[in-house]
Amino acid sequence: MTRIDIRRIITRYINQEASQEELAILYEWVKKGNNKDVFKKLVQADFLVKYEDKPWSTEEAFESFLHTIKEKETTKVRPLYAGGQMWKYAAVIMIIVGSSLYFLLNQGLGIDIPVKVDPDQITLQLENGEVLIFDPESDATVQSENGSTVVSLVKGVLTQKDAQITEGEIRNNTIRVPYGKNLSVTLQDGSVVMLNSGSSLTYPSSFEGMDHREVQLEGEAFFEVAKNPNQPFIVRTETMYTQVFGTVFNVSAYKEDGTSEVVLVEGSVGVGIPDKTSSDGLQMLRPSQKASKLIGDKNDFVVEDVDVSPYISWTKGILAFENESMGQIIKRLQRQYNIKIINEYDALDERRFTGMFDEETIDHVLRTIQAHTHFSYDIEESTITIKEP
Amino acid sequence: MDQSNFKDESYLISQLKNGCKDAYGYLFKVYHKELCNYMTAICGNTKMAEDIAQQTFIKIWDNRKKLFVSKNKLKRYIFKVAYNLFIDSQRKKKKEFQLLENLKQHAYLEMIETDSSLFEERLKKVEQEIENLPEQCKRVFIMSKKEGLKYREISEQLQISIKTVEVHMAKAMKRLRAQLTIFL
Repeated sequence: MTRIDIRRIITRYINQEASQEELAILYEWVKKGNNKDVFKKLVQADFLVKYEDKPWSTEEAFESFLHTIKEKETTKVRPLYAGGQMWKYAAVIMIIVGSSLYFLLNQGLGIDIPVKVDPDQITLQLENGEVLIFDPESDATVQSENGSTVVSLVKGVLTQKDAQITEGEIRNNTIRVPYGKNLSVTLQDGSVVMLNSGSSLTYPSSFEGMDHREVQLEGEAFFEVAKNPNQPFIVRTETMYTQVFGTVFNVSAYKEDGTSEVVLVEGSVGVGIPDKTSSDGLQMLRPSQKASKLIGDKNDFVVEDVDVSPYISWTKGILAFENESMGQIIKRLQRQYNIKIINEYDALDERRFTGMFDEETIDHVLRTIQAHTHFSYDIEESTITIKEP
Repeated sequence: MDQSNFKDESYLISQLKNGCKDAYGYLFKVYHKELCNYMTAICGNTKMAEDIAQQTFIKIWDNRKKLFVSKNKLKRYIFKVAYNLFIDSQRKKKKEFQLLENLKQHAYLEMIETDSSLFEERLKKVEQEIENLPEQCKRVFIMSKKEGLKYREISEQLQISIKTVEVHMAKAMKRLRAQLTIFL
């Protein structure tokens, strides 16, 4: 064991990259002589090297702190109502939902998108069945036939204006995003929903006069929910009910993934089963926690602490995997790149990878994974076949 | 309320216990920025650092009734709470390596307890030493430490082998450590 080796292991240890073997080596080494001091000094040197004096929004943090403790105090007496200062966003979460079946069951009007629509276009289906079509690559403003709805798409952000709506005349819209595309939608209350590839969201054109704000999701979305304690925000998916109490979350429920997940970034949310009508018995999440559930499983949610960054990296156009199985990665690549991947090498499905890609080609991604494990693949038009080496 | 009273730590602690919001405001003013910087250096992620800092203050609030801190140990207490939150978020740490974790935590706590002018001086020294590294060595070092790139990424970007990256890093760390151990 040379000193260089030990130094390298310490660096890897600090960066949380050391293997079990290296940890064992380091553990034996540090017990000897004055190595404890050497170790501490290396940790401190590394700390000093990484330390940067950055600006931080302390005042905002304190405001948010005051808000949190206020909520803690009030929940004892009056659950769900926090009064006081209004916050821009109540919660940001990410939800992935499971089933396309869900939408067929829930759309009373039987409004399937006409077959002639190009599956690579963004579609917005209005309550009356009219379908507005957008090319995701270009900006456009589209008006509905009767002229009462004007929708514009600017730089991937969709906003909708409806002619004055009288109460009881709320309309539901369904927006669908094709594979390989993302889209941000601003709802009437100011909440922003970023939809990942192959997802759809059903939402009312206005929340006015409702006692809660409710949307339905299939696929994956990142929510920044506008704060309004008098009108709780609810996301329904096939298997999950998520109620927002407090700012940022991600929900994922792709049917092909077989699970539904909610990841809370900021604020506070509660999750429950979809037939929930009240907030009783909701499983509360803290920031950096994930609730997940197998589709079709009647059991409770599994709640765990997670690093949120791999879950929300897609909103920044980054593809990140954190110890994810190749089977799962293949599903995500198919959605992200709108391609079909056939895996003929079954043993590969169980291999796990961690990695990050910033707007790279599918070829680059596969080649990088290839550098860590052996397989071969062919690309033919929009189908990739993975084979044993 | 007179904020200057909070400079007296035992008064500050008593007010924190009472749940006085101004006392918490003072705590934010004095420690929030440093805590965020500190956690960023440790966990390498500004978003996470901010989250941990926020949870730290909330935790102190939640446990305010049980807040017993010996004199001049408030800062250490706050940073310890933050560090424990960080450890919790890492999960799955094997118990047998507890010794390493404890040493690491001690090393970090020693850093926050050093006098701020001395700390500044050390930071400057590090910057200076990094500046003095040979050109390529410096480039590799900054990409790894400041930009957080993996060795493989550095090797791809600079078109050099991973082995070479390792050699540069070892060299840089050796030089820096030689300098740092003198004044640490």
